[in-house]
Amino acid sequence: MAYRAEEKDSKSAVQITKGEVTAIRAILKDSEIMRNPKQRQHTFSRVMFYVSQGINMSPLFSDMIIHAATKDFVEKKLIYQYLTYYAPSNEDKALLCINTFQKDFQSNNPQIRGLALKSLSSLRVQSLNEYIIPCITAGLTDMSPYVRSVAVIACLKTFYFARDFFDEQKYLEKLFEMARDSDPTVSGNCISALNELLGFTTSAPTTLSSQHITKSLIIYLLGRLDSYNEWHMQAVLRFVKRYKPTSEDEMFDIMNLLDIYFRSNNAGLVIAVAEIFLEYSSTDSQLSNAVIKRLVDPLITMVISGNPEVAFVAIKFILSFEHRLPGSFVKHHQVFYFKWNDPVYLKQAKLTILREIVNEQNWRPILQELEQYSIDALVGAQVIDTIGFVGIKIPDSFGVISRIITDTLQFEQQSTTSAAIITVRDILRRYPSAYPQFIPLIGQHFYSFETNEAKCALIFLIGHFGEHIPSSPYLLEPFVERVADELSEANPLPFVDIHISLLNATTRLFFFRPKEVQPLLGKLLGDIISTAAQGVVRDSALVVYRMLSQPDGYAKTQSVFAPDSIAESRFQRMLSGEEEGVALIGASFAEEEAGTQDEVWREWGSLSTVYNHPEDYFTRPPVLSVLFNRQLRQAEKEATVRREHEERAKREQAEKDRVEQEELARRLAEQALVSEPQFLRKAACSPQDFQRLWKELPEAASEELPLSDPIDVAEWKGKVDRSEFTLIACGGNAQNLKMFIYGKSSSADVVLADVRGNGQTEMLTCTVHSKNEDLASQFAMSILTILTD
Amino acid sequence: MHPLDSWHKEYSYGFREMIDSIFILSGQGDIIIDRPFAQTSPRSLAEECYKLIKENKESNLLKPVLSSEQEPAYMFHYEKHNLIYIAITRTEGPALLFSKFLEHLDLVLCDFFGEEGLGEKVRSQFVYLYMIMDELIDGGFPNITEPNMIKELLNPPGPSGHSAGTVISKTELPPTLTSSLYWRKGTVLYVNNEIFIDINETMNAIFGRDGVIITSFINGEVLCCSKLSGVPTILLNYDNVMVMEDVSVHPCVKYLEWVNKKHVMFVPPDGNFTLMKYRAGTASAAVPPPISVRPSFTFSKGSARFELAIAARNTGSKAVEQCFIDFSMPSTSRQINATATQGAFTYDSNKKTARWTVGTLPMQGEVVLTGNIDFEDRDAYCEERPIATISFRVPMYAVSGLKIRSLTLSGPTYKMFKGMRCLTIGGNYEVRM
Repeated sequence: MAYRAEEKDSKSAVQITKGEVTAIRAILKDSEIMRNPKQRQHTFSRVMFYVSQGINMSPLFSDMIIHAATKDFVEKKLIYQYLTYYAPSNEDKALLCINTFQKDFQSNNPQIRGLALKSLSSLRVQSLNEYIIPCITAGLTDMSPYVRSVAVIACLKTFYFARDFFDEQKYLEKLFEMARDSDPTVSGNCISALNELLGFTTSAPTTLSSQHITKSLIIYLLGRLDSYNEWHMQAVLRFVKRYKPTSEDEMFDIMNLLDIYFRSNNAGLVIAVAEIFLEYSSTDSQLSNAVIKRLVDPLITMVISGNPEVAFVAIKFILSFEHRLPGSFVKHHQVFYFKWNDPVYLKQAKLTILREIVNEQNWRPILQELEQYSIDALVGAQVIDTIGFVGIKIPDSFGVISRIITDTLQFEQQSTTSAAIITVRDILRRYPSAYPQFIPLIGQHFYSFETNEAKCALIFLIGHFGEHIPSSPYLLEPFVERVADELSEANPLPFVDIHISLLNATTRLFFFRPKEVQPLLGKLLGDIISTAAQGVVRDSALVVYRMLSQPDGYAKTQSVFAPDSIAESRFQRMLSGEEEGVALIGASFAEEEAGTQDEVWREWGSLSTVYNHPEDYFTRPPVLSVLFNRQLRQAEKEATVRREHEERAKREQAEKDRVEQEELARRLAEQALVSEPQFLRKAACSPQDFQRLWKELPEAASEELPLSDPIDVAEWKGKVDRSEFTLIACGGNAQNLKMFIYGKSSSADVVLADVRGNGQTEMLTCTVHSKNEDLASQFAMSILTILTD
Repeated sequence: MHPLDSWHKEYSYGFREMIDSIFILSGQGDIIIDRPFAQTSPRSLAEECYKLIKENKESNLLKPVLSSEQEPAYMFHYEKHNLIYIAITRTEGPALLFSKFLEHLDLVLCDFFGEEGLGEKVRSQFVYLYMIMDELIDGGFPNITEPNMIKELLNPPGPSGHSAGTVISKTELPPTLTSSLYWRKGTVLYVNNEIFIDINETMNAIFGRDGVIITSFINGEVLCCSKLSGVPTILLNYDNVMVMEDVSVHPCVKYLEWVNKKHVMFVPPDGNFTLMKYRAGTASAAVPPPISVRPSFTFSKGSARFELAIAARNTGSKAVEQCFIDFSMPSTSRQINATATQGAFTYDSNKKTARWTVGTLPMQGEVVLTGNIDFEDRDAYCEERPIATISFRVPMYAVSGLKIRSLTLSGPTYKMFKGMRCLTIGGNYEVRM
């Protein structure tokens, strides 16, 4: 193109502009050039070209006005286009062009009248409204339907830029009247405008709408529905949706009138009809199911229409049906098979559908088909994920799935193999007894995965099914070898998952293969305890270590880490941070979705269905804060990339669990630290010895505690009896209680306590005699805790 | 700041049911037209959208609806003929309508300018573009959408108009602009009255590695070219109409007649239009494919052998013409050699695509291509397999079995010449090797 700006960066664009604006102004002023019609048109189109390039041509405003009074229609269009574009920024000069517009509005040619009206209503200059409004009002009763149809839209524009005039001129009422205009374009535009006005929920129009949307109007519109073009039909149908039939008969009348439009060429129209049907049948599930069945065919046609955009939207609609009436599309699974050149978003959407519609009858062909896709570099991982879903839904398919997974694990595609191992873990979590079908493939190969999740999955499998894998200790070995290095890295945080899984797996395996695993576990615990910084990994290692070093530690630890049943213990799951994992696998956020699904359903047919979120979630009036923008992006991301959504939530859950589990581990570790070397259980002491020792030993500690409950002598006695300390004597009543308690630490230090409870002052005092002051205060605290707990 | 941006801030309002702005971009991302309706959208939205489209061009990852990072706006985009159409909306609205409208916009432009080199024509004649957009959509609502009518309103540029650059204006409003038969000009007069009906069926199929059909369906279209005087009513009857599933029809067809009597009665628009669209071969008995395939593919270390045999079947003794097979080869292929019993084989090592041009298939027997793929890594086993897509034409044959029984005229008293044809073409006729 001759006058195309070559340079794209902003600086040179400005330079060009300055030069061009002056040059064009010179041409516009040059009467010689402007007398040549060809040159004129060329100049005007050049101006418009620069406008469309985003260059500010506003300085030319007054020069352009001069040429506005042209006879040539094309020139008119170009100049008017320019004037409406820049009128708001040239408010003072805009008055100058009003005269031209008004004159054109008197023209005999309806097309020119229409153009003038279109331009006038687009000027958006408040001070000119008094000139503009009369033209619009006159336009509504123009002889030519073309002008009327422009005037109708102009009314809508006044609603936004001159609300006072809109109300004063009673445009809303006029629009309702003109909905019955003999010309379908005028009527159609009316309906479009009304749709928008009624959607504007703020003020008066809503109250008006109920008076004006009458049965007779609706019947009238539906009666002439086929005279509208397809776009206006959609507007009319959306308008009809606003009407609430007063009786069931009326509802069925409307539905009968609409039935034939289910089979339109225009996919949007089909959806618009469906919206009304679903709206009307919202209370009658049988009817709404019938509507869904009617929609199966058109939606399938859309999917196979060859237009990926339409297919994508249609699949989203189908998905919402599958949630509503599961099984509607089960027979048509072949429709959702991939074409090799489908865009990725379509393939992903197809996978979500296949996942929904797989059942006892069709899983074989679907799995067979999914297998073909697993080599796809871009969606391979999701395909494997889907295969895993099929497995969890239909346990019969394990045989086939294990074969597919075995094949998949041979691939070099990291994302796919990772997904495969994670899938195996998920399936075995849910159905641990299915291990014979999956576990053999673990031992066959030496795998190396890049992602943590995959590594954890592999470690989990080795640990939990290690007794069935001959080489299991040797598979864990390389992971254990690396621990020391990983921990001494500057940031060992990324390895936390792996280390926890490893600890868990190795400990468990220790009970099945003690001889082989013992050195491994020893090294692992040693490395972690000596190298790791404070935190969950070290705490967990300490827990394991202390459990094992207790007198009956082996059996106890075994009962926790390797219980008889094949399922993991709750404790273990918490340690591995995946308590919620199992629940998540099948249900995929069922509870979270239940509520939103209903809302989305109510807004069926709109963007809500595509995003799978209710409208409120992503639309707000545009005067919005940054916060909302963020929310919006979040919503979009979550809705469109379902997989990501799940993963993130999983991660979040894992994070939450990790915090919980950190606490738990810390608590465990603390308890272990406190009670480990401390008191012997029920050390024996006679009252005489107690009396003697009491005198011999110095007072080492004294603690006081306010009482919250009244003293119950028998209960307190029981509390001390149940503790590891020995109750020597107890006397008194609820008002005044005395207790003598004896304890002996593992280092043979003795502690004697005189405990007094006073019911009147509501105080509990504990005086301790001992050689060891630390021990004494600890003893005092322990007793007070026991008594008041 | 762009002058309209300030306006946008001042007059922003929430609940639009229609499009806020339409942008048309050239394939290189230049904004050709920026058409704001009641509310303007900053050009940066179009730029953002283009950026996303460009970034994701290779990976094909982009969804047809994007949400903007800058503000709560949604961007529908549609790319065709080296043009990018973008519609911006800020609020909830009918999702399919937006996508469909962009598609329709492209259709109208194609009809107006001609499909050949549309991108360039639109750019060089953007004055027309302004005028078309002006009629097509008003205030963000579709206004006059029938391609015929747009042509009526604005004289399309002739072959010479392209270079002259001057737009010939037309100031007479066509009388039928707003008639209730909005698709038809009122005063049409031909010396020879003719009507042509074409049944075009696109056969789509996917074959597995064993050569067995996995899924197949037919997209059918009945195209009509009418050059008839006056306001004629046409009655079209089909044989075995039962094969048509999920039929959609042009607005000119009397729908109730079709539903109740299964015949097609219509007042045709002047010129070319799509009378009906339908689907076939999905519901009941599967349609036998016109071409049978026998693929085979075997890996060995660093290379692979492939063989593809195809033969014409079930075409009712009609010849399969213009047959060629496109292969999408594994991305790690280095060299491919192949020999065919008929036709030529070429391999493009940059794009990793190959084409076997067969020509007309023999009526009896099969044609075979055998070849060898060498991979870049001589020791590796390849994981990808080639995909073959077969393109072909079978003139005078409708694979679904649909036939026209009769075509009669009522209304005007002249004789009309009737032309009827069928055609089956291979759409996505895919063989997984």
